[in-house]
Amino acid sequence: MVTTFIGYRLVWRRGTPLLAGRFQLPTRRDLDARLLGGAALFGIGWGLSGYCPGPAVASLPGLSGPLAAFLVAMVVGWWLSRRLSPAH
Amino acid sequence: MTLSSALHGLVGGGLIGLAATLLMGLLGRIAGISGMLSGALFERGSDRGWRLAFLLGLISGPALLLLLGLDWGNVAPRGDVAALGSAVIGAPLAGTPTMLLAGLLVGLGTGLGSGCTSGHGVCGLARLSPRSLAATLVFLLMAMLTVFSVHQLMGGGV
Repeated sequence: MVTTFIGYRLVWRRGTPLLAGRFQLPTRRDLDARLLGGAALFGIGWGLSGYCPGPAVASLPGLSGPLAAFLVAMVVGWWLSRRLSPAH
Repeated sequence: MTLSSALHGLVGGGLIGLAATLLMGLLGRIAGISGMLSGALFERGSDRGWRLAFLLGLISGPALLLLLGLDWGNVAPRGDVAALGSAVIGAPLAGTPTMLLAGLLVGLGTGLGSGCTSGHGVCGLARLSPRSLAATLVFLLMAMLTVFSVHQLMGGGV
């Protein structure tokens, strides 16, 4: 986090990314039920499994049965969340 | 926590920060794993290439450790690939039914909540985003509560 905090401020000084036209950053600052409810569901799943998405994907080379079940269910969850989101 | 595991955490966290900074400096994008993989799977368009490339890189690190038989000093018994995998990566906490439920919650939660530990926790906090701060507090708190409840109510076994 500290690395990223400093790193972001260094790369933002350039005005544009090296290989793309512009920085694409989220602009919303309001809190809503979707954000907080989603984060709460995610927290429960994370606590139950010990996995958040990054380490789960990074663990693919050492794939086990329970991890495979987790990954498949996670993709189903993403599909569901897209069905529930009016924006997509 | 031993000194060595604290050092590993510090170096690993620094490397994650470096990767997130590089992605922002080169492509101008947030390094959020859930959005990246979900987008690579469910969205058509020009973002698919860099997303898949980043994810391939994410997988290649642990794969390389496995292939080299390295666990940063703890060399697993020769030929014991399963033990090696868990030594490098960390075995799942629970059995398959719990992992199915947990995966569904993680997918649904990060999808609705627009991010996970990387997008909100690392990148969002570094941007001082109020939405990411709120989301990070909520999922950290819920994860701690869940771990605590599982240990208290069910004696640790799920």
